[in-house]
Amino acid sequence: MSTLTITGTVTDASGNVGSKTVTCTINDDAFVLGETKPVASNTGLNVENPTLTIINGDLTIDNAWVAANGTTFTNLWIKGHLIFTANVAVYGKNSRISGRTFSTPGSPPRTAIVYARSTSTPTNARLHLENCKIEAVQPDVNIVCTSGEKMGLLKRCDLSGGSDGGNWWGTNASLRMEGCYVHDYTFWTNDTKHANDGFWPNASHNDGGQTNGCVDLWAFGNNFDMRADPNYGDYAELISTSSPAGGFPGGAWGSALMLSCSTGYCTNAQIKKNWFGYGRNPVMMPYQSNGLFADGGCSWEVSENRFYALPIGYGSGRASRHLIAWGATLGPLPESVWGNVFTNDSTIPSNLRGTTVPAPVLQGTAGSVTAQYISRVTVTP
Amino acid sequence: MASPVVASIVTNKASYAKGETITATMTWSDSDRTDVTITGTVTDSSGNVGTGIATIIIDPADPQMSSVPSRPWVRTSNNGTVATFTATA
Repeated sequence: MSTLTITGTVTDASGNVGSKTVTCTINDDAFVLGETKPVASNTGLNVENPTLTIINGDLTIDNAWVAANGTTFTNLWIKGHLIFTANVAVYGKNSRISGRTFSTPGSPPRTAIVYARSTSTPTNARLHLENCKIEAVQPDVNIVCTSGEKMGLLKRCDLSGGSDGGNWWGTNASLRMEGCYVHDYTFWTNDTKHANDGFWPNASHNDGGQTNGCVDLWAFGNNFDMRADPNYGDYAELISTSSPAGGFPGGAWGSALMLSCSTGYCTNAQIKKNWFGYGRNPVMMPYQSNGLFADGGCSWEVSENRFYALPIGYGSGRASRHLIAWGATLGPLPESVWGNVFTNDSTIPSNLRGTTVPAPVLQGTAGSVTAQYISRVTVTP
Repeated sequence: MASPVVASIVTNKASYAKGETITATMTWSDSDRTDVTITGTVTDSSGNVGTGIATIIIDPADPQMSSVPSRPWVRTSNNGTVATFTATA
């Protein structure tokens, strides 16, 4: 419960002012982290309905900006990129960051709407965002919503329009998001970053949240709706049965959480009480860098997540739909994956509702870095 | 010159759920305000008269609403003594 203080003023032409103040009570939303499904109406700007001050162009939060403005900002509409390089933590709230238009497709001004990449600042100098709406006003194959090792916690943010939602890259990055609504990514078939995809070369790999290795991963109570926005990119090819991948009805494609730990490890990872819909691999860790945690688990827990719409299988034999997959000997112990369920949401077509989330089974040879535990459902596509 | 007076602000409810519409009614007055009616006449040599009338306001006043935390307030009516505003809780 919070108090709203309302002030009425009357100003006459002579500049004389009369005023009066009253209060009323706002019963804060019934949003309970991990229990309330994040959607558009309870995330981003819809949490507190702020009045926004427009900033035309990029906003760079560097040390000089912090010296002048402090370590917080709120109620901004940044019609450009938000760039973070300060050497202290900064907290942004109730703001909209939408990027800006550019003339050459494939060459956006920045590769992320919120760009927090800096290796020169202290580890704890991160940019934390709460109740923010992060979108791409001009989606592009090379634009994600947020990116950088200096990205901190995303809390009840609404992310859309990026080829990925949030990226936590680089040394000392830490994927942390809670209560976020991640949706309407944009799909592309000219993504040279994924030219080596064996099944669909140059198709973008769209992820709700991605890291290449981090400590204290925290993904709690988020909603990942992994369907492409039909209004941008190469959506028609994504759903076409004549596409190299045979089509993904409804634009379901990509991974909600892609833990592609190419340069580090994911440790102390909590993936709990999220909602996963559509996509092709909701929780995916293809591998960890060699060496650590072998056969010992790694303080992981993937529990009490809800799958509300079946993903669509990738590659040949797409009847096998992976819900949770991770490297066998370098990932969590199988018993750390528990309590994950299908919701049987009545608003989802019945053929997309699963029943039971099966226990993970080992694919490949235990001890090999190519082996994975996979929790999957097998259905007729 | 006297200041305008906000006599009361009344909300349609004492408490609101998140996202609900708040309607606030302000009763106000401005004793300095004077409405002046100006009449112009033209009389020709035959005694025929034409007239025109205009009304002007001396020291008009403008009612506004704001809040903490901030909300976009929209004025939906104002008759010179009572103004109504809405915002989203």
